[in-house]
Amino acid sequence: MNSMIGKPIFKRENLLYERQEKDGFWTIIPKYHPETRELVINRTAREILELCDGTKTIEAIEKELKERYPDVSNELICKDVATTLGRFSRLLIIEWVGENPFLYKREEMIDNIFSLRVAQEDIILKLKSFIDNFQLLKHNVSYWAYSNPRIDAIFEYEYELVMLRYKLFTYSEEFFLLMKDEEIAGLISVSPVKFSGIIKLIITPKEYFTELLRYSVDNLPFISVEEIAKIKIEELTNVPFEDNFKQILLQENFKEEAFLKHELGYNNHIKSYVKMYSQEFIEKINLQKQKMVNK
Amino acid sequence: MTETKISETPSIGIKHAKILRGPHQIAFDLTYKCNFRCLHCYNLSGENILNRNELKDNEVVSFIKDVSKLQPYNFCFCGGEPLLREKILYESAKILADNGIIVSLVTNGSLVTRERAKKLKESGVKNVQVSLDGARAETHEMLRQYKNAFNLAVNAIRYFIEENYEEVSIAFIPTRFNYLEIEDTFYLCKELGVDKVNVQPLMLLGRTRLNSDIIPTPLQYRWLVKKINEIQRKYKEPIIQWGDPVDHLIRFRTLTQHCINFVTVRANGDIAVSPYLQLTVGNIKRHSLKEYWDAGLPRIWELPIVKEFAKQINSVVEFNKSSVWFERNIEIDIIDDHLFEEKEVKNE
Repeated sequence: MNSMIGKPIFKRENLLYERQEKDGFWTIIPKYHPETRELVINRTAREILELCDGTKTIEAIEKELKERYPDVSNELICKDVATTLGRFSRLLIIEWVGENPFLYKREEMIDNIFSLRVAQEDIILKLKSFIDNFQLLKHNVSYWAYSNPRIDAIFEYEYELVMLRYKLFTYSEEFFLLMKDEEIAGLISVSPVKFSGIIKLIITPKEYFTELLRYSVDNLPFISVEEIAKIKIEELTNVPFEDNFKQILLQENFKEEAFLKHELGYNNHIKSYVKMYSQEFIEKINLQKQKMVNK
Repeated sequence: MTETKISETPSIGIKHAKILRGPHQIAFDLTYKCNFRCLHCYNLSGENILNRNELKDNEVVSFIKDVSKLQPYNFCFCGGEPLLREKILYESAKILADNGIIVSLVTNGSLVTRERAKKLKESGVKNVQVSLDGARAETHEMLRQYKNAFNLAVNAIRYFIEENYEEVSIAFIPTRFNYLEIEDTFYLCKELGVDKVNVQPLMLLGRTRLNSDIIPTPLQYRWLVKKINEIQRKYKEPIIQWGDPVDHLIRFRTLTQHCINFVTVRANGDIAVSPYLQLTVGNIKRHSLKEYWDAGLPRIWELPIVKEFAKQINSVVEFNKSSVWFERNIEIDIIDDHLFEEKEVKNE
């Protein structure tokens, strides 16, 4: 099944802009990404991108770098490769011949300790224990713990083991995980319904929220079992978002979409914020998915 | 947070376990002999060692008569290929049907002729499920490893439909090489007049373990479920379902542990707690199903050993932890080991 082992390709044409800076650094702007993020990347990242020609596996790329830099530890090289390929795959600067392994097998590194991945069915028990800490983490100042106001009253049932199994098996709720080694340190879960993903849970250390949110937003249309055009978060106006939390949402291009008066009973109004995906981004993702599926 | 707890439910379960005369659903593997050697067969049917100990015809009849007294809602003949024990199949189906029990049959279809479809119907079989793993012969036969299996399966479906069976369903097992055909398979079924398309993931059990490279990737599974969702929205018939083989292992040990109304009996008479676990809790050669039922069979999932077994498996990939058919089963006997009597005493 070697054909299934993904081989990355650097898609220079998917860059809107690139400029060589001082000391080997580069600025790039990805073309298909929903909102443009200017990225300054270092020489190593650039070198890794250049090695992605669609013929080399990740292992082959690592091997080549080890030969070039015998003084650098294997561990560091592997981490650099994982970080670069993971992040740039998400920004569509890296495409894959075969399946993108970063979603499932290899997580995307954030730093030396934390990484990101999509939950698969076998993580259920860890997921259950992590979600069971929801109330506890809600009172932890270094965490944000949000649940969609519509499920507050039925939270326990919603995340019973059997229900969790159902969600994982039918992909009716996708769980994007922040991992610390093999343990779950944070998550964002999203239920895909037709054309939109609705955020159900956010339980995350505050300092990793932006990364985790970006990861969830970027990957949702790619893995979802529904067509996705936007991602939505709902706020119960009686329990408004913390300023910093809202700030991050706005920074990440979430915009107020609707105000639903008395939606959850008298004086329980809901305000929703959505982030629309660009048409080009969705088209590009669908094309890539099609390529992988037809393999 | 509401204070509604499921703690109210156990009493209902315990009450039901006392009230019920017998199980509502019974699955019985009539034989593990099979003319196919499917790449993914979860119980390695074909050359199984259990062949030697299978219930003899008279033992099957006596079991069936016993079951009839309990009057379950549905009785399903599974396997192996049940039609390899054709005569006893007709005889058993007739006894069950005469007692008002719905008789179902799972088959690979290869041995189904027009005459057999007729005869099965006359014996009282109401529901049939034929395995169909693709819309093309090449795909289906890659998994089934049997020449002409596709035409035989399609013909079997035709004969069953011509005979006006209550429900004709097909089982589709996705692999890397056939999952893209789900839609075409659905259309073929629609054209044939099939009532239900059951799709269930491959389990890392039996022969699949030797062929694990046929398991779809996570993304392929998501693609498949997306397709199934789309088909569901578009067509009312046939009904298409994405079935979870793990659900009962979690459900039975948590929500419904106090009363399980489903029993699996293997070809050698072993009563298994699940088709997918290597733990048996009795054998109908030693005591009748009724005796086991009255001795606590509906409450079998309360036993710590059963829970421990089931706890190993919380996902499809974890099936490789259980070693069904590769080693001997762990055998306990709820009657001979006085398991529930002891429990009652302790409770008192």
